[in-house]
Amino acid sequence: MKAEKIIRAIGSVDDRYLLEAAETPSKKASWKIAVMAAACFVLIGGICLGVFALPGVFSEKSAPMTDAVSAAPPMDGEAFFEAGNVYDNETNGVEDTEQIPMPTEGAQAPTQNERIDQNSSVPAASLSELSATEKGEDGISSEAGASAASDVPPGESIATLEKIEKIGETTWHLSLINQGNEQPFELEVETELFAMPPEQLEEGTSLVIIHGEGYEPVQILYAGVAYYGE
Amino acid sequence: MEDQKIVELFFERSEQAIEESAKKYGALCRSISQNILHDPSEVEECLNDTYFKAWNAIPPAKPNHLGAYLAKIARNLSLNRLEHNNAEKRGAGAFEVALDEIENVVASAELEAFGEEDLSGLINRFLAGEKKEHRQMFLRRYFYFDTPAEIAKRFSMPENRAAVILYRMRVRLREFLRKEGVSI
Repeated sequence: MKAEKIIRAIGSVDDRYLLEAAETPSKKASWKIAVMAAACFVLIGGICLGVFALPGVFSEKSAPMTDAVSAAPPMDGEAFFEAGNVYDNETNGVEDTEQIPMPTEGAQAPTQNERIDQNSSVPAASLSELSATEKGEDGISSEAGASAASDVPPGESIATLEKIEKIGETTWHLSLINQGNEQPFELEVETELFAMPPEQLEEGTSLVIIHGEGYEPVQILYAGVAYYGE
Repeated sequence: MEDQKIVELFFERSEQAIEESAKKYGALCRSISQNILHDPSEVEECLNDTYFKAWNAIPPAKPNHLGAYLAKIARNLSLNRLEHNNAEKRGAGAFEVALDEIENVVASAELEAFGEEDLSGLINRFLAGEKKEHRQMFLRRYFYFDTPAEIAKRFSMPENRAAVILYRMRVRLREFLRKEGVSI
């Protein structure tokens, strides 16, 4: 039988080949296991990155804003805010109250700041610098009167710009009318607090003045941009 | 124990050589014989014959690879015993199926002019040109007479894929033999 002749001939092949075939380890299985283990490792690593690292980035980004809110000194508009003119959902008569998140505690600040980040052309770093220059060693505002107003949570107010003039190299004087109670008030703010070029502001423009604890302004936005993203 | 040490025991005519050979390569020889004969009592006889033949052959023979040497003896003895047995006793085991597979390759071949050594040389050259994994699979099938399922498990692949690889190797073997002057 021809097949038997071939089978016999196969029995005389090189010993190396026979040993090679006899000692075949199941390498592929270990290779597959290694690939699966690596894939699991990458997957777990990705999940960990998503869960821990990315939120960390956001929290770092918002941290300077929190500092700025808590440490900025009181300014001229403080008296106005202290008089009860802080924006309030219930008293200021804004129609779409659901669109305006009202901060209650310091923990609300990051949420508000995130919105500022989205709408503002002022980088968070500049606000951080503001905080750094005006903050005392203990991280609390060193300005007199700040402690008295520090109980007031961060908030925001809508006002109509009556007049704006440059009074210093980077300082602006704003005459405003609160849209909630029609009371006039004035502010002196640094250029960097504006989300827009202050030179382009015109009388009658509606602005949102975001203030930190103690009423100190930390950001000035166009009202439409702040509330409707226009 | 190292192969070299076992061979030295054979040369010293120490019966421990048989014990060590059985301990190290008994399972390998048994599986080959079992795949061919399918009869445990015949397999045992064949294994005893294998050690006896090795005892008589070493010395003067001094195999470099004792495992391959014993496997070849066990395989040849099993094939001889199978030939000697009644053809009716043949079943449909791995060996018989493997034989049929090879038969399909060389059914029309003119092999009369080729001796076993010639054919063995051709098959060596054929295997040398194959990928290592394919070569291993071919020998697992046609030397050790493993079933395709066993080969698939050994190489961690689906049985169907192992069968396809072996089929393609048989086709290549047929073409190789034709190119080497075997009339097919």
